[in-house]
Amino acid sequence: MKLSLRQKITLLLLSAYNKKPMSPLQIMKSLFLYAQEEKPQDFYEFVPYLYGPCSFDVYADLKLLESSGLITSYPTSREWSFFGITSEGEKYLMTDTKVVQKLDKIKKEVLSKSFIELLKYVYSNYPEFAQNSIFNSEALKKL
Amino acid sequence: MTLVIALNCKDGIVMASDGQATAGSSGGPVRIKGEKIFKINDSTLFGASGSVGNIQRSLEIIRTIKGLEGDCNSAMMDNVKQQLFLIYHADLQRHVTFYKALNPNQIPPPPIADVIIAKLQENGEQIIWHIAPDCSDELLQDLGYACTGSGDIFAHTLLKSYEIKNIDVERGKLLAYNTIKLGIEIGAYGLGEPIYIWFIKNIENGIEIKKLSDEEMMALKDTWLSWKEAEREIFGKIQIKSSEK
Repeated sequence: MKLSLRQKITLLLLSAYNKKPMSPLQIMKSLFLYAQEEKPQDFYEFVPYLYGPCSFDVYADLKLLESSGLITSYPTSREWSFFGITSEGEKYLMTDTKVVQKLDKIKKEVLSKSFIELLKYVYSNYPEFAQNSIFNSEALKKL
Repeated sequence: MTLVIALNCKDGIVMASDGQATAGSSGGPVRIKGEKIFKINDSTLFGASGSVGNIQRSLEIIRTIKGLEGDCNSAMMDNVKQQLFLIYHADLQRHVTFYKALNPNQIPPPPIADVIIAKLQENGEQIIWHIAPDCSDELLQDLGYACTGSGDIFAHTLLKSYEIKNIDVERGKLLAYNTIKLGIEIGAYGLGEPIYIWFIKNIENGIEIKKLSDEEMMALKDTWLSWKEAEREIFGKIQIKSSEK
């Protein structure tokens, strides 16, 4: 199976930081932060959506990677399906140390935050992506 | 069992439904997955609850009515109602004739269809038109929403507190998702996934009429889960601790 660079980076994200599973929103925010900090070419294009930055292509890729058996989803008690990499998916991992370290750092940062802390972090650093959000940025600051 | 809703948002109309239908079989009713909202033309959506056969025939008839391509007017609306009445009345007669020997308590409910038509007029007016099984009708855009199906009381309860006409279509999609999702999860109305969402809105070069893609539905579901997550987290922050009471 031939993967695009952005699909490989999504796999690498799920493999980073001890392969901890992530919710779709944590994946979205992590890939967004990676895009903002590293400016990779041919990557996901993010738009200001109802929950902040979103690329619908991330969902398409998660669906494709899951149907190909490279990632799997786990149901949780709060209805979020968490995604994790499979042993088959690990065969497709890139070995670029710089990218691995960057994704590891971003994932660690994202997973350390509560849901609202994560929103506050993204909205305060990238307010242009909060303009269509259902969450009021000013109100979030007071929480 | 069905729930179909239409929301009259400030910049367009959102329609949503659950995805579980009931079909007849020789052994009794069976659950099947089915779409309940259909595009009639480039400015009109159709949604209905009731028996699958009656919905199919209502849809066929409405699709053949040429006047629906233009703006709604009383002559065209009367024509739609008359044509629907013919099939509903015939079905009802057949039902009564077929079951007339039975004790009234044993007669199953008659096949009916309860129709919602959502339309964006050429002058920009947004129409939500409800046609009841007896073909009486009402325009519900000023109320802000319409709903039909076994879960409609639940939808009324959820929707009545919103100023829907002040909500844009993007947020309307989320409100629609919330209504159908909670209807499926909480109500004992035999509703089921998947959720389908359509919208009609004016754009720069005309009218956009579209069903949300799988990816858009995944994003909407995550928005909804984010909303619930934020509620939980905020509630945890604002509630009075027992030591403060």
